[in-house]
Amino acid sequence: MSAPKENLKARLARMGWMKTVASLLLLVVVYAWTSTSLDIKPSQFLDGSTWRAMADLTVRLGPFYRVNKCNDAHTAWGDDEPLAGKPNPKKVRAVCEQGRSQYLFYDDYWEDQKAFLKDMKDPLLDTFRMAIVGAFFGALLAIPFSLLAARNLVKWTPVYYTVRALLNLIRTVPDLVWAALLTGALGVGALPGVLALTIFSFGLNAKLLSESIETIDQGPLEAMKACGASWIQQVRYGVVPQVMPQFLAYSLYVLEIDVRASTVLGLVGAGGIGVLFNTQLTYGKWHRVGAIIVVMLVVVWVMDFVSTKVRERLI
Amino acid sequence: MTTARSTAPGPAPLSLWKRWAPTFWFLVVIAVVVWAMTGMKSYTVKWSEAWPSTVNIVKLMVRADWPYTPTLLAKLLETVQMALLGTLLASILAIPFGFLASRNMGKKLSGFGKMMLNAIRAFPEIILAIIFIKGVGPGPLAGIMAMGIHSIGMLGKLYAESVEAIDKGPTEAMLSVGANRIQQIWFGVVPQVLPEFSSYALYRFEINSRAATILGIVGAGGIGTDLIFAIQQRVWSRVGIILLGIIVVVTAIDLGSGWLRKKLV
Repeated sequence: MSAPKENLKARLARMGWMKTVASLLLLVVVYAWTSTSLDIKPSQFLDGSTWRAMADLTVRLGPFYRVNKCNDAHTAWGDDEPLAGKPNPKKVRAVCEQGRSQYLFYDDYWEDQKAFLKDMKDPLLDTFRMAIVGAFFGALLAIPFSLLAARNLVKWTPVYYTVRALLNLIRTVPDLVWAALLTGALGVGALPGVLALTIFSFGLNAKLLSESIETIDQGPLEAMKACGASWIQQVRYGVVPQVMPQFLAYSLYVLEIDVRASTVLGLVGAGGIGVLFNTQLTYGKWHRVGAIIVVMLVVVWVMDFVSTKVRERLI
Repeated sequence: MTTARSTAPGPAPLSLWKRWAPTFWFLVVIAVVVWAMTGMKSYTVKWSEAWPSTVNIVKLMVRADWPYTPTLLAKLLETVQMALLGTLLASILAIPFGFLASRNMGKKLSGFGKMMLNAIRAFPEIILAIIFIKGVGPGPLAGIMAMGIHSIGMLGKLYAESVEAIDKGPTEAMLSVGANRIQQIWFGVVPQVLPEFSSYALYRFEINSRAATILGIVGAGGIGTDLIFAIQQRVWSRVGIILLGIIVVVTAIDLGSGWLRKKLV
């Protein structure tokens, strides 16, 4: 009669386009489900007022301020002498009495930014300090735990699984949540930030390090075991020389991530430049917020560049 | 660097610098850490008071606020949906960036594309969320847009790398039978990169589901808002159950997406 019946798998493989259609369908379903239950319409992405508000904000992150109402806070200050980073009342009145809405340039923009840069120095250094201390203690803590979380070094599986589970547990909680929790417990300041970063970098570093310990060459370990070396001796002379370069590279990588994280930890009150960011945000000093964002970007870029270069040399 | 050891039986004795370099760098690290620890402002915690209160907080957190579960589940679902939609947005927006930044497809524009991706990546999600909140108001949309934009940076970079690694054969074969550029990309490149693209998008979904839990801290929707309110009001039993929820959801997404990614590539 006819050819033998193809099995389902072969038929599906023949119809490769079905896969594409199925995945596209899945995407549409996901989109439809999420957007309806979150009540988000595509028009909101493209809405004119959204983008007008965004554009307005972008202008105000630069050296401009907006005047639209005469009873605005700008004129309420009422000083004839414009203070640092404040709008010029005379100009504001001139614009708003004509009933127009206009962007004006801060008269003392550069002076204000220069002065603000001085204010930024301490929080910025604090940011670096928090990241350094966090990454350092995280790395120190990671050493013993990564040894315990390596399959090839720990033969007694309960220890291995417990340590693994602990590390996974630590890593599932995001850094900002750690910071928020510790600020709640210990109060506002750099210390909760340092502790949050320590916990966070410990989880990350221990995970990376334990994985590279698991891939080491077993030869030296077995040779040493055959000569009767103790566990400590095996680790000291068999494991440490093999993973040291990776450990240093990971620590640097973690430091890089910590610097990134510590710039925003201040949003929950955990010290660093984020605290300053939050203050300027609450006061609506957008040009200063813009300056902080620029500084954050520069810091992240420099850190990225330096850490990549050093890591290239290490491995 | 530090593996160099003076006692090793080598043919030539190590130079003075090589012998002392590990010690030198070790001292530099210690000096930097000491500088960092001593210079830090606002070390105002009194451990004699802070430690018992921390222990007390942990005790309260363990006594989870179970009646809160229905709200928690709704909020967690919202968080996951935010992550899904944000990832969907980013994984589509990142495709043109990926092609632009790849050396074989973007040609001369590759460097420019990579620079743009780096610039996008440098903005932390939470800062973007704050900016978008000013645009669209507090709520999940701001968070989705923040994740959607921030994720382009990483996804575009990974996409570009997988586009760079494709096999030239199919494209050249099509060129030889007279296919135009669009046809070449659609039939020669897309089938090759699609599994990797979706695998990266899934990986980014894992990261975004973590990010979505914190975006609420600044008011961009999701569980973070409830978490930060509970912490500020010191309702530790509620903090405990929210943390539990975050851990369970993130772990579940990690496992599920890891399994799916193994199937894809």
